[in-house]
Amino acid sequence: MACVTHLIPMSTDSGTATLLRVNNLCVDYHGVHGTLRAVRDLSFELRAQQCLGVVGESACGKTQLLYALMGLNSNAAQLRGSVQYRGEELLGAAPRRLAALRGRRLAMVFQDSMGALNPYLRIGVQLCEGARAQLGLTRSAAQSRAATLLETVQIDAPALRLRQYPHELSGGMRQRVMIAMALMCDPEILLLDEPTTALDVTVQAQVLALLREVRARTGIAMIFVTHDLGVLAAIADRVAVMYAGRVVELAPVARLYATPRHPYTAGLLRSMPRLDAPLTARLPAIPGQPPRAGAPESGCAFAPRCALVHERCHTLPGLRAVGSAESASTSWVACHVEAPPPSIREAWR
Amino acid sequence: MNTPATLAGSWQQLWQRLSTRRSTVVSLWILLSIVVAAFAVPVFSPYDYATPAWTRIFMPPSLQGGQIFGTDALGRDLLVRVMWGCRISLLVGLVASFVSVVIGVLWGATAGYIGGRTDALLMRSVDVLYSVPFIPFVIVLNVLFGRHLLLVFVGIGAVSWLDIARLVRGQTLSIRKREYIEAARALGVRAPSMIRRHVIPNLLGIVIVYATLTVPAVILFEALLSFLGLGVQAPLASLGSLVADGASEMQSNPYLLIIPATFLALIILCLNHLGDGLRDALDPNEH
Amino acid sequence: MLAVRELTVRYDAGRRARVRTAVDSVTFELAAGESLGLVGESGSGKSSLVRALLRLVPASGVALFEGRDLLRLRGTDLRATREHLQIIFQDPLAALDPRMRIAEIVAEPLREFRPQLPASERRALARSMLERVGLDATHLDRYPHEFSGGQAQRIGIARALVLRPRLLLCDEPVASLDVSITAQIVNLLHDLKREFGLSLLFIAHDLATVRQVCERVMVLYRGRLMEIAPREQLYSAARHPYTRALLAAVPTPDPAHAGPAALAVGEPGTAPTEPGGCAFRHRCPLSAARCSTEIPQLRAAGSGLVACHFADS
Repeated sequence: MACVTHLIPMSTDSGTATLLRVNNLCVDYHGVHGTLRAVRDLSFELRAQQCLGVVGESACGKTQLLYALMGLNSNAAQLRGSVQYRGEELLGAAPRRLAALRGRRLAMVFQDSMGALNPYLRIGVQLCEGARAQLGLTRSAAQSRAATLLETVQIDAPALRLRQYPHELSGGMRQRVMIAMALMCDPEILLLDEPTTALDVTVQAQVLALLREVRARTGIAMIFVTHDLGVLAAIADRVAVMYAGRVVELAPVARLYATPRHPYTAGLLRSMPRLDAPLTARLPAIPGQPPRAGAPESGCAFAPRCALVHERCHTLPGLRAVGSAESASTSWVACHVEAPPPSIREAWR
Repeated sequence: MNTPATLAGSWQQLWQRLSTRRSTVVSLWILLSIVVAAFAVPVFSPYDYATPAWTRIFMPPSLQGGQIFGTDALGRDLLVRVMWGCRISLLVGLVASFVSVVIGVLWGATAGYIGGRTDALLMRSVDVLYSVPFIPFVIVLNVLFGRHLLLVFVGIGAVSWLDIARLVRGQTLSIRKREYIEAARALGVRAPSMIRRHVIPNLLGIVIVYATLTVPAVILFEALLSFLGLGVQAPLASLGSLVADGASEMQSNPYLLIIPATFLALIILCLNHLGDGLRDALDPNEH
Repeated sequence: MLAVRELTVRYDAGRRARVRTAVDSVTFELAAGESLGLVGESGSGKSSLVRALLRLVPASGVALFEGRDLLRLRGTDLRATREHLQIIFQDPLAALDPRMRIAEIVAEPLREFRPQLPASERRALARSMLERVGLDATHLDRYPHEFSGGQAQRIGIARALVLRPRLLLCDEPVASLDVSITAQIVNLLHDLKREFGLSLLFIAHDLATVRQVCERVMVLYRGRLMEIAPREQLYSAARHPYTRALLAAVPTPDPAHAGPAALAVGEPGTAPTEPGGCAFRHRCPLSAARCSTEIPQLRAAGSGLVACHFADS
């Protein structure tokens, strides 16, 4: 089934409701050897029907961020700052309130479908679990809703699948089941943690097309976390680039990919092998390595690897707006360098 | 060959981790004190462990007079005999354990790594040996070769390596599947080098722990043998034989039983705590 | 350099389970100094093929390496080839023995194949190799767990190249690495290939990386070779529907681009291993009756080979 659709630009006018407002979110782990800061001072907004992509490499804090939004961090984590869902503060909220919101308003799709599904329970049972608890549906009502959703996620023979166990399904099908599970209670926000990373590339294309269709149909908002810049280009409206626990750039997708302002973003886009770039003998690589999780920072965390580093960079750059700070299509960048790097296409010439 | 220190990164780190547990450190000190005493006291004491003194039999322990623990049925100084007993028990414990660990590790690692018929042959032998009854075996040895300290080693060593062999084989089977083993095979490393350089060092953690827990078991074994009269030959004493002697005088001179029994229990307890502490210190998941 | 003919790997899971054919009569050649890419999704058999070449799994067929059949050699002859044929792995940290220092790890091949060298010289060679791959001499006595994935892969490369092999098998060497590190390792392989005159067999599932590294690419699906062609032809005018589906599915980091297209339905693992037809027929947009009855043979298409009944359309 060929499914080639162009991205429908979502309205970014200020009339759209703000679903999530995150301000200065910090996730710390206090241990014997000191404090590990997984997420540092993170702020962003998510509006209705928007898809926010969060991209970063390992140990940048993107998964911890998602867990913080759902309240799923381990007990050892200490959260500070503010996470507001439709104006209601989630950090420090009563566990019962959080449990009521989880699944009902905010739902999550995990990376490892085999690990996230209980191997001993049939798919149908797992699908209906949340809906029956949250919506109070009867068993048959929940089952028929589950079957409908399985059709929505393009799984054939839904009645049969409901009775199957996770290991009887293929990887791509399991991931679709996870998406169906997340959609059972008709949530407003879908949080996705690398949902296609473990899939083959042809299956990934199918699942991405599915997610775009779900979004077009239901208008659900999404936060899509991945390390793959290519995937985000296909699905996100705005992209936040994370490095060492902070957001270093946040911009509308077209602008970020064409004219990235942060040296890290520009470096990533130039150094990754891509089919649309001209072939050169060597790739322009970013030297050095990403910092270890929660490593202490002094100034800009990217400075050791940055080609544009200068003496101001030993102080931490805050996120500053590029252009007017009012509209939802503003870009934000955390860098002391004023002049932006050349656009990607220019660099290829 | 990598030493245990590499498992915890360095001796310093190992010591650091060991010392976090009070009981481990205390046990270590007590053991060290006993070892030092066991070797020093008989050297400096005017009394001999073997010479009877008919005029001084059954003297109770007293702080004056230099015979702190008293004397036994033959007038021999109990302190010196207990110290000798500690020497023998610890010696048997350590040496027999060491020998059985070496045999068990080589046996199990070879069986586990090579697999197939070699594995079947080696492990079926272990099964057969398991079924040999231990005490009658030692009795037969004693009958054939007379009572000798060496037989104690042989008897105990012949049995305790079996458990280790099984444990090591199981561990080897799981190590064999790891990717660095595959990498080394792809490099062209041959089986003996593989076992020596890759398999055994990765087993050492669990082997060391098991070994430190084997030592008290061996000491108890030896105590049992001596209690039954199959262990060390008089006038040499092990803690077990001292306990046996003391047991027969339990009614009239309880100190002859209590003192060696206390030392035996103390050594076993300290070794167990030390083994526990080592296991925690070497466990990568703990840090 | 390497000529493989009808290589077949079958896994027998016991009496009740069916025999699974991981690699099915694959034939290809690798010229000296060439980088050949091997692309496939899960179940394509690419890992099994590599393991068969290393004799880690049993296989049938012929694999001529410098004139000798790798699959028939035994004992010392087999060992001798290991000196010239080396491998780097997908999970770089798992491929290093956690109990050994990296100087020992890199020197291990020298211990096996140059036993006459004294330890000091082995260490010196290991040191120079580690420096060549970009690691500091201060790292020599550290343990693998102290290194990141990218650094561990460099150690793996140093170990593989210390004997100056002629052919390097790369089993998804950048799949588990961060994006910013991938480029470094790709560049390193490029430099080392030129300096050491290596031939590479580069296995990967990411087509963009393969395009960067390899001059020729072959595409496997469920153990069968679907297409093999020079880079320029494969990426601009692929002949096989599966190759085209793979290329269309690769997400491009450009929002103006039309997004990844799902030209192939289903998943690699779904079709049962029925003999007597094209392995791709259940997922192929061009599937026809002929595809279920006749196995397509490899035939010339442009400057490459394709196994498809409709390659000319």
